[in-house]
Amino acid sequence: MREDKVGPLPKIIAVLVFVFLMAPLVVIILASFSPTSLVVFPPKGFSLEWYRNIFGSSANFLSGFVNSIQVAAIATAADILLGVTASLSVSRYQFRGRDALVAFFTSPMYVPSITFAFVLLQVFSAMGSIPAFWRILLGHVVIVLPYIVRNTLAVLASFNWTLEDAAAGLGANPVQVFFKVTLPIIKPGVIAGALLSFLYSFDEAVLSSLLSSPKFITLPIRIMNYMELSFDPTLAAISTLLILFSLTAIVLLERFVGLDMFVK
Amino acid sequence: MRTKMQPFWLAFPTVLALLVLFVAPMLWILINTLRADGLTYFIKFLTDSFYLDILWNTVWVSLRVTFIALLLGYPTAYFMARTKARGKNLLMIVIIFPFLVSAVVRSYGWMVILGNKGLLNQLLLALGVVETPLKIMNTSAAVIIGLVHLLLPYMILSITSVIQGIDKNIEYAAYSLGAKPAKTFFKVVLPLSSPGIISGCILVFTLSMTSYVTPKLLGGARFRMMSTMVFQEINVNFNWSFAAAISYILLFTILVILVLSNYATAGVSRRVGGAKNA
Amino acid sequence: MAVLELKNLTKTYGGFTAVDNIDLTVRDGEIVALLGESGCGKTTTLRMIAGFTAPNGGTVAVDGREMNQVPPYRRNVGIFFQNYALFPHLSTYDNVAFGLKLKKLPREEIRRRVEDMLELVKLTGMEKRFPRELSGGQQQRVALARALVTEPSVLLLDEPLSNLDAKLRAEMQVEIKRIQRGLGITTIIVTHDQEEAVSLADRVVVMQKGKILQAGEPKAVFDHPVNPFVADFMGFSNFIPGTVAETGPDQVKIQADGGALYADAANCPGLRAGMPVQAAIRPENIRLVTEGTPESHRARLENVTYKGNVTRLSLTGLFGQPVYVHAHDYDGSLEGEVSVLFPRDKLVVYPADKS
Repeated sequence: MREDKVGPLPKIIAVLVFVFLMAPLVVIILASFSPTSLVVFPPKGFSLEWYRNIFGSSANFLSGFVNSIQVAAIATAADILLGVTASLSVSRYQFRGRDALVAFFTSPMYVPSITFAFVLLQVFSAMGSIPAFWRILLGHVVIVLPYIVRNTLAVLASFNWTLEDAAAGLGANPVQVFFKVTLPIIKPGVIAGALLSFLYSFDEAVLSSLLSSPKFITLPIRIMNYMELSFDPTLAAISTLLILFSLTAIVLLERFVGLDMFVK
Repeated sequence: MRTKMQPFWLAFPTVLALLVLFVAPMLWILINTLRADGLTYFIKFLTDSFYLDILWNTVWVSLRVTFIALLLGYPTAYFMARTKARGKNLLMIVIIFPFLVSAVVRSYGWMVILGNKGLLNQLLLALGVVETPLKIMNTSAAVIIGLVHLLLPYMILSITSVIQGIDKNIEYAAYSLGAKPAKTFFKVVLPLSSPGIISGCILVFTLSMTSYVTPKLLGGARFRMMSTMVFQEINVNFNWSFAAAISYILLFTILVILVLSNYATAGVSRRVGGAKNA
Repeated sequence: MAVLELKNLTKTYGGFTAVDNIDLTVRDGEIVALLGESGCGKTTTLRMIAGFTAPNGGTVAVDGREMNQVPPYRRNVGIFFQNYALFPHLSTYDNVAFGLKLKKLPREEIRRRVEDMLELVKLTGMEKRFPRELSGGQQQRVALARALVTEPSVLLLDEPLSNLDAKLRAEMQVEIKRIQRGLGITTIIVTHDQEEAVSLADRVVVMQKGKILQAGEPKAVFDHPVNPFVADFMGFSNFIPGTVAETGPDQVKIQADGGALYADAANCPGLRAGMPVQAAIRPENIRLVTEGTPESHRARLENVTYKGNVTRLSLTGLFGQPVYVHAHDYDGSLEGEVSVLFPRDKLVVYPADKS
């Protein structure tokens, strides 16, 4: 019995799975350089035409990008505040109903986004003309929250609470304890969670689609709309940029915090 | 100085936000819908075989997606949990990285591959394997492929984390008692990893049931799943009452599944618990 | 019932040698303890005997048959893991029966053997309980039963007593020895606890850095450690530096800082006059005397620590360093200056450059 050799079967399937997971992304990246509007393999040349098209096209990818960033940034920021305080409240203290409260904080995760999106649509319509930015933002604040809460709870689960007692014993008041001791220690984990939540909001397509208005459209929806008009590799170009965006994020995550959080 | 009030103050803003932005709207619209039309549209959905077919289609697609994800995901998870290969981090990135890419982009990639003039057909035609292009796009096959691609990481991660938590000595103990690797797998590792299998399946199934982008892009206009139906009723038919009924039926279906599976998981965890690394 | 032979057994990981070319023969029915601190190679050796790790060199042989190519599930070895490694999803009965079921024995015979074994470890009646419903001591006995019930030719115990409290430990020491004697199984125990090794084993093998430093009967290793490392490990907590003043057929005189020590020549192998040495003695072997004698040394009592079964006295003013004495029945009457004797037969002397 050699040292921990995994049998051939899991290894083969794992390799196939890795190829499968990467396939569409690799195809997109290759397609973005295609000189023709129809993607052929093997590629018959190399062209950056589609990348230029991103900025020139009337598809307004740039404004879509900006809109997505705005929503994702503000929603994530708001959810960090809401999520960290909520997680602290259930992690520091044990009380009856603690588990129910945690379930409540993570409940939006279990509601189909289409249901919630539609509910918000009706509510906002009944309230009058609320700008699409706010409609999408408030919706995202709700659906992103569970991810930040779950992530922060995991970080706090391994936090040594007696450190807070030690600080208090040395004369720090609760606010100082939080900012001088707790926050610095949980910061990496919280930032990692925030990064993932940011991307989740950025990529979100259901609420963003239903709650958008002609004046405010996020990038994934712009891409979907473009698909209805024309199926050229401009889509591949903008997709490649987004793929690189996500790849950078995860490499940073792996470097600075590690990927253990996904296998907790 | 831990006063009993502190958790209240910390939790208050979030509880308030959720109540205002989430619970209140959900309840209000539900009540409104019931008050306006009663159960008419609910009944319309549940009694018309056309609509029930759509629900069934959604369930059937989701079941197949879950099954395939399990078949592919379990061995991958076992590999990830037990391999000592260097570059394991790289493999983790490969699994997790698609998570961070929008469903829109991922579906687009499959459209390029699976279309009539897509890469797959180009390859098959060039190799002479088929004479006419395979019609995969706009069929359930394409949607299933797209959803498996989307949701496979959830399954893999769910199972990997459970297998990693199984004390390695337990496997060694089985070997020393005469169990060959295959026997050890079926009698020891598989039962002990069942919590991960169950939670992975639940996750994949519910996400598949509620998916929108992938079925819409890969299934085309005539392929109907619940979420795309809701969109259609809202934006095309402008029948908001019906759309509301469908979306609440979807919600209740998911909730029932989650509650049932909670019991199943709790039961399994109790039986199997204690496998954690000493 | 088998003879276990390790010949030139070596295991390296990258540049690090975990087990360095060791030779060991364990006789049929013998209990051998591999004793050493973490990282000395004892656990790696155990894993090679079990077949979980493949050696880089050398062989493991049972009854003359080489086992290197034999996978663990075909070796007839019973293993007890330090953390028990019970199957959490199986009852006590199923845990113990696991190996027997794999052999496809008839159900009645399995039942009989499991029940007999549970009786042997005093767990009759616990068949239906699951590991999480058992106490630590009970889990330990299930693990033992599971390893023994398949009647292996060799039994391997990895730190069998380390997870138990003192009372259970004492009980289980007796139990393990009783069961082993009754079954006559060749046994290897891996431990870092010299007390455990000495009380359980027929032979103690002290390992360090992958090598065997000393192998012998417990009393031999305990009283006559072969070098300062082994001595320190076995509890010689006093090391006094000095120089050999005189050698003789009967005794050797060591000149230390502030006094002379005399040791039996048998305890001073290979010493010559003028050689720098370390004289070692166990704290419980130093004797307190109420009145000074010509052979006694005067010292000042610095600290007294009551430890229950012994009292630990720290003395200064002797040979320029603190000396520790473990006294039984110390009545607390001594203070200030005391007199101590270093019995000749209890002093072991080593050349100073030996590590």
